[in-house]
Amino acid sequence: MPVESSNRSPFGDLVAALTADDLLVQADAARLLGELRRPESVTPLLRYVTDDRHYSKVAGFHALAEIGDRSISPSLRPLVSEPNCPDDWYWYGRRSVQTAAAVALLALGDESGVPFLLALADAGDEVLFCWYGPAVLKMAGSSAALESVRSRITSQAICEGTGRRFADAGFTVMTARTLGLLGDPLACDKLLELLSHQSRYVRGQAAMSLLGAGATSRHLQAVRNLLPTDPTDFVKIKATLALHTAGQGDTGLIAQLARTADDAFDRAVAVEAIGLTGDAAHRAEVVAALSHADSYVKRCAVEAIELLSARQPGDDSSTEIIRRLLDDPHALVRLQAAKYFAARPFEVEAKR
Amino acid sequence: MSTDTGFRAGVARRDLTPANPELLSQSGMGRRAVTFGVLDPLYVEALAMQLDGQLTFLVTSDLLWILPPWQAEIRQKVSQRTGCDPRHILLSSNHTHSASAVMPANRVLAQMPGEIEDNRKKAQAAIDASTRRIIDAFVESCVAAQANLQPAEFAATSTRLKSTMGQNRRMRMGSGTCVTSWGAGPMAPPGEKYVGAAGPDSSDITVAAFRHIGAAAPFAVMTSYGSHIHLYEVPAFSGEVAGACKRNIESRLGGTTAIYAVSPAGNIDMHCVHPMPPGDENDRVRWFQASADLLGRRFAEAVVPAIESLRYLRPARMVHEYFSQGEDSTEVRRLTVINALLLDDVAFLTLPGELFVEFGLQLAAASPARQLLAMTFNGSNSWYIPTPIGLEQGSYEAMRGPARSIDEDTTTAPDGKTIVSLLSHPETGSRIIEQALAMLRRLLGR
Repeated sequence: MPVESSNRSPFGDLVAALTADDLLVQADAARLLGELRRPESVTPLLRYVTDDRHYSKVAGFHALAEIGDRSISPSLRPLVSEPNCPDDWYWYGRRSVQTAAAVALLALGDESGVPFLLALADAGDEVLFCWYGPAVLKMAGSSAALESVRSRITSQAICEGTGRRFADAGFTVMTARTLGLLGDPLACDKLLELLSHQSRYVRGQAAMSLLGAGATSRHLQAVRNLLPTDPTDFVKIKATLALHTAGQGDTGLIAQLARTADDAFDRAVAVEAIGLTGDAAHRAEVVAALSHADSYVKRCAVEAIELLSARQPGDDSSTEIIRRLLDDPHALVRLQAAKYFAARPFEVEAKR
Repeated sequence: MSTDTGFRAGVARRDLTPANPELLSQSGMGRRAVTFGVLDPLYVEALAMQLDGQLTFLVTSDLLWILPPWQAEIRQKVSQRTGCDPRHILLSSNHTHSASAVMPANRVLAQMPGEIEDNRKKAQAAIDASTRRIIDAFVESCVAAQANLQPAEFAATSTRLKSTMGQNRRMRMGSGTCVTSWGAGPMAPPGEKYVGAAGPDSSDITVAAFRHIGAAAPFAVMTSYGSHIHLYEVPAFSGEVAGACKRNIESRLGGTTAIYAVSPAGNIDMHCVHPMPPGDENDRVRWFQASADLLGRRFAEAVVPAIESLRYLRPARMVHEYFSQGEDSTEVRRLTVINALLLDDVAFLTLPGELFVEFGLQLAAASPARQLLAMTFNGSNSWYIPTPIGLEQGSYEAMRGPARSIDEDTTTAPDGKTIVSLLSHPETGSRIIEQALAMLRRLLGR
């Protein structure tokens, strides 16, 4: 019996969570529905981005772009100019919602949001250059409209810009992602500089982006140097992952930190990294993390199991543990488990 | 004249609402439009206490902050009028954003009747008058509180909110960094996971109550709770949630003056009532007032029952310690003031504003005092004071990055000019807490 036929199907739980009281639950449900790419999600996601007045609904636009139903463009178009959320002129919440709508339209082949995106480019706005830079650069297609936006997101425009992009760690991480996708010499020089940023999260992302941009011997050595010198587990995990992705080095340190990192977030990042490497040799660390006390460790573990199982199908030893997570006290853990089962409707019957 | 040298206390309140709100902007997010008036008055409350001839004042106010020159002038004038040692005057504000008159932006000046330059002159005159009114109200409240001194008893306790008020406004993402979630929630980049709130919420309230000897109910109730109290966006002057908390406590207790102080809460916000619904200005005002009142009721529902079960005593010991750094400078630079008062085994402590809530929790956990009432925005000159990991995670509060050194308080602008830059260093917060704890330990003789 497919899980959808149950009154409390995992997929139904994800859809229902779009109207939860907790904003993060709503947004995470949208993110997971986007990953599932099921057409039944389109109507509730469209309702979410249209009716909800929180900025966190940006996750819904991305999910709709992932699903790719072009027929919804007319419904999204008005949200670029009137996003139905408060005007936080002192911050960038409303602008982010408008940008999310415009970027989703562009991904769906609709150019009507392009003037808004170009206006952001003219203003040197970090919301475009940093927050949505990677999404635009990774967007499939080569239409003139897409190129008109993509061509504005250059290393020079980013490095010459002022404001938050190199001061606020959140923006700087996104800047590093954008620079990694650009990958030109100016971008790589900036990423090399960011390897010594005050924030461990920037250093870790800079390592990933630098080697993602092309692993020259200089870049490899710069990232290798982080392993003995950086005082944080987070950077060691990211540097090891970056080197592994570049075909250099094993993932033993990541597995070790998935077991031993003091900070729960670092442990989660290590578990997540095992999933990203696809290295089934460390599956035991991921399975153990399914029972960790921290909710984010558990979520990353479920996600990692999905990735590992995709590479090595047929191993369902962890399914029973994940099934129990459908009743976890933490809503975001329940959602991640629901997504796991919703992605495998004909393999797993998810009775609770 | 009374010969009783035992503990006496008195309270007074004065109005510090600007006289010409229509010429001014308030210091919050409603400052883009012409101010339409006053939703509820702004006040300063002073509590005078005297023991063995020694006088002290605890003063809180409905202001965004107390500017460093104000605190110097207020303490000097209160001292002149009351004979109080200036170091024994503990000042604070509750960081109400719909307060503290500022010069309207050019586009707002242009919306006012008349020429922009004339409006600017009128606004400047109104700001000057508002500043005088603030300082006078502080001084007069202290003078009146002194005049109201009567033999009194005192009690203190702590309580916990039963429903949500202040929540951690920094949301952590899978990248490890944070985005500030105020108003209407966070906005992660495409595909990014939310980890959850980056730190604890705020649910603990410390309460001190003062009553006349033999009285059934307190004449003054002071609370210390950590959260920003602003609701954003209405172009009017208002005491916002602090005003509503005070009104709700006073209406339930009757005959009490409520005093609202803010403990460390740079990363805490009352966004549980958001988002603001769509509509016109009248709709926004209705939402603003209803939200403030809802939160005020939640606050009073936690505070009032705690007061009803208090055991009052007449304090036998009142001691002070004052610390400042940068006060001797004639330039506008970093100023750190910490002012501690111990009443028996209960501490009142003024601190700079915008310390992260983690520092407040650390202070409460390590405090040698039985109860601690923190009062922030005390006239120090500093910006947000994040935790070390907060500075690495980013967000609005940490978006300018850390100071390069613990003592740095200026930076060089692109044009070569030296400008004041009050960024926090990773050690700034812990230094303040260590200093405060050392003061409390000395006061308690430990």
